Amino acid sequence: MTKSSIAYKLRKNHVFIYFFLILGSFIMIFPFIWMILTSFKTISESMMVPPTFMPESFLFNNYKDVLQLLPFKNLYINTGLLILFRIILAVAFSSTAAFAFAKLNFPLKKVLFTIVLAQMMIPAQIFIIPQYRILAKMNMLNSLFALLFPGLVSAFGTFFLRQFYMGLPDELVEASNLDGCNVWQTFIMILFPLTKTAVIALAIFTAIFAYSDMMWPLIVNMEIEKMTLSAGLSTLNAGFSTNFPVLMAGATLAMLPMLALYLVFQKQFIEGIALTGTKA
Amino acid sequence: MKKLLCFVLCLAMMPFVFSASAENISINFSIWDKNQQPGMEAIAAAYTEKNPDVTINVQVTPWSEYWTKLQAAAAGGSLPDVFWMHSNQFYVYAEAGTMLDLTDLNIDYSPYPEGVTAMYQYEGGQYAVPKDYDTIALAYNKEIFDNAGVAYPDDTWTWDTLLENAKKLTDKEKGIYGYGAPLHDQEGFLNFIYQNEGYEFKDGKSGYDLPETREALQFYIDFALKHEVSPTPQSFADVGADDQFKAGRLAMLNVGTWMMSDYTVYDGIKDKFDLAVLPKGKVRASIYNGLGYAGAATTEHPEQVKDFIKFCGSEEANIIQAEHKAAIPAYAGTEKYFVEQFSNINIGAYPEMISYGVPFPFSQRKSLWINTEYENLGAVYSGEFTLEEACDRMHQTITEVEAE
Amino acid sequence: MDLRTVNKRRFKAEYAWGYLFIMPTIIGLVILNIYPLFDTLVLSLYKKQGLVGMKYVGLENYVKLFGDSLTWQSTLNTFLYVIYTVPIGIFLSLILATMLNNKIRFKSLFRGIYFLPIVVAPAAVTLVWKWIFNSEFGILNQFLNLLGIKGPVWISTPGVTLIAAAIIGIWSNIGYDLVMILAGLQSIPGTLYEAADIDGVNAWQRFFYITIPQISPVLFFVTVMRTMNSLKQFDTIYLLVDRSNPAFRSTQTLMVQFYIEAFQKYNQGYGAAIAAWMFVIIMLITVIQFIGEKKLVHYT
Repeated sequence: MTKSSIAYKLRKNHVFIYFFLILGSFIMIFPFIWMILTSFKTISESMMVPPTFMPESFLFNNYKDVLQLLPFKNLYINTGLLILFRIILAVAFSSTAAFAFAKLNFPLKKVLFTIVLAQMMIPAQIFIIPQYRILAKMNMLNSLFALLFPGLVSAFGTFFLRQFYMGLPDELVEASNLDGCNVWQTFIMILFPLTKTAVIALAIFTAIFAYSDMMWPLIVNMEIEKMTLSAGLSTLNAGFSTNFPVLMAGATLAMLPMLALYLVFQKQFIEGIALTGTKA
Repeated sequence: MKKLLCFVLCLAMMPFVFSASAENISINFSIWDKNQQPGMEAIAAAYTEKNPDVTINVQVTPWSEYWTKLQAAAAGGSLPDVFWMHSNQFYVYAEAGTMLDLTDLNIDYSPYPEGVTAMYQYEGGQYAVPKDYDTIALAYNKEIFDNAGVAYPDDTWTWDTLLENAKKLTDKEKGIYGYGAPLHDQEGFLNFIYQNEGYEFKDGKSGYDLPETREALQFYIDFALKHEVSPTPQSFADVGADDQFKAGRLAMLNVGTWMMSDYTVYDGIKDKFDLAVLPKGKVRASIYNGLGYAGAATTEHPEQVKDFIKFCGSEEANIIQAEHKAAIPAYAGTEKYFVEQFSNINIGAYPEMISYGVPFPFSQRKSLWINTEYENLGAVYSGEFTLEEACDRMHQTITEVEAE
Repeated sequence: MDLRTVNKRRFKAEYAWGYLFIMPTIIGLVILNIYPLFDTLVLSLYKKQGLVGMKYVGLENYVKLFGDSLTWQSTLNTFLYVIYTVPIGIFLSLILATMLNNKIRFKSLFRGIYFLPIVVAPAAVTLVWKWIFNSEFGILNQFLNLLGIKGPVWISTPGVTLIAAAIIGIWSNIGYDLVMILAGLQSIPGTLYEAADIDGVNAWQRFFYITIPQISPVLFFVTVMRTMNSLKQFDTIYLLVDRSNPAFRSTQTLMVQFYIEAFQKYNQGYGAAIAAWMFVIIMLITVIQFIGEKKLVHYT
């Protein structure tokens, strides 16, 4: 085969590839565009056959309505605090535990780590009712604490970070011991900073999970001002299940923060999530 | 770094460690309708003015979560001090002894609709004070009527006039249906059942074995199935009845009072619709329901709670409620303040019907059998059962559940 | 001080630090996971009594659970959902990843676009798709109309609704699988392909005998992730159908049934029984998957 015919074959294939990738991209993006366009239409406009593409005018009526129906300010704050604290808790507790499991020796280490592994294997539904009952007994339902409760510690985080700590050379630990550092200093000043990529990945993973989670917030925080964005949206669906322009406005507002972050930090998002997968 | 971490964690824990310590008494008041929040807060403010050492926090929990939360609170012994009660749920809560007995408040119940007061009685005690009542009226789209040259509904209408005019108003090409008949009980088929002198449920017995009930249901279902003047439940699952009316696709629809604060502000419909009393069957009937104010048996401030509830039932509080437009206040005579709020529509149709209103049937176990109605009647539309079979099944289920 | 004492002290210090570092996590796991595991099993032996009480009933909840056709329907629906979403989803991701793994431009852009649905909440996504699937006014059926096809009533036709939910599920997760598989593809040593070219291997054989085995760990991982997520799917199904929807019975999954029983009807004992049943199913599937791993996955 001549060089040019190979090149021709490749380019022909590439056209084919571009076509499919672009078609797929369109399918991925279209729902978002349609959501935004619908959020500016009136009910009768949205019910036209054949459908109109652009709204007659970009009224913010639906947005005004949905802001009245759901206390978005609270929803944003609750979601934001939830994400923030979940990340802090996950990183703090999982890092120390991961470091200890990877680099320290103590009796029963293997047994205790099995507990961590076991939690990852067991499906979460098993835990939900009792966790709820504990919160109910503590009278801590409808609070930020209730939202945080299942995420106070993270078995996945521990497991994930441990892989990284195991990849760090033991010599580092020995060297810092010789320098007179105690275990805490070794951890916090030498090893922890070396896990930066992994910590960021864990943070992103935790953020997306906390933001997406609908069932738990819906279960424990029933007052509308204490809900997160996902849970709040679901109540909108219950009451206004077919007022689509308003629902779309709500969905847009709910997606906005994450979308904005993603547009800026896209690379970190993707690589972080990929990292959590490959190390598992 | 460690210090920063500690500091942040401490900061996070603080809200849970320090609870608000108030010298005055704080009462939690739980409701489910955000639209009524201003009204309830106004009543609370009026009460605090007279009783400055009591503050009342109005908390809104969306309807879809309200009963779950209440039940969880009941199980944990931490019910809100004051909360709205609904007839569907009342028996369960009364039986479990979760509410304060309000009998010793010695309220005169004659200003309230009898049916509503009765809804909140249990074994000789009164456990909630009537708050409001809502009835079902016939909403119609004036524009569609004008375009079709049909005269507006009035109190001469009967079932036959309703069907006849619905046919005239249906214009398939424009996507307009004459009468919306969704699978709703309170707004929909129950009205027809009682107008035909049947009943859904009375004295512990199901009425689905009665020919009057079945005849009414057949008439209702035929709007969609036989005469095609109404969309089917499947269509309503796609776009709800209220939304279809607001979009100008339904010429007529049964609508409850509670939707008025929405209909009257929605740009697309607010100037185009009006209300009429429901058409007459063999007799007149309109389903009514009323909410009540209840107090938690486990509250730490029973005296203040009872006093506040008494205030909520007073004429003054009912006037405040009326001015905030949510539902017709229960106290006789105050409905005129409600009617005043809606100058351009015949809102008076609602209170007019209370004289022949039928209380929304309730029972201790209703929550256990209420879905069987939707499931079985839904199956008639899809052709899975005939109406006879569906009614037999419903009758059987209700009888079984009630006998437990 | 002799060396032995110094070492002993160091070990004791190490032990102390070790326990200290893992203590929050371990305590947390015990309270949040170990205790609840047993509590759920115990709870499943109780039944709600009146509004607030609980009564010991032994295995009655399980008898009721397995005697109820709704349970079996939910179980079937759950399996169907997995069958609809996992093979097709991974297949599509595999194709897309393979396509992306060529010398083409805009790779990051494409990757970014496909990954987009992952970062937005499933709750919001479901609402948007609910609108798209709307049978009279939704854009999908209107589009099908143009092609002369009468689209089904997606959200309230029994059987079809589950497919709609699956479509949403596939759409939402392609990005994640794609990114994983792409990373796997990119880590295949080029030398393997060069050696194959020399041997005169054609494209299909390359794909099946080199590519697939090389990325089999990733494929395995992605399959497990996807399966577990589909088994536990809640948001989409819960938001698509409610109890008055004619398609409810044929769409409800075990997770939704669990939520409704435990947290809407407040039958926590019965809900715990459902959770236990889900646990058994998931464990069985996990075992099957690990057997599959031993047989099919090729670790280098």
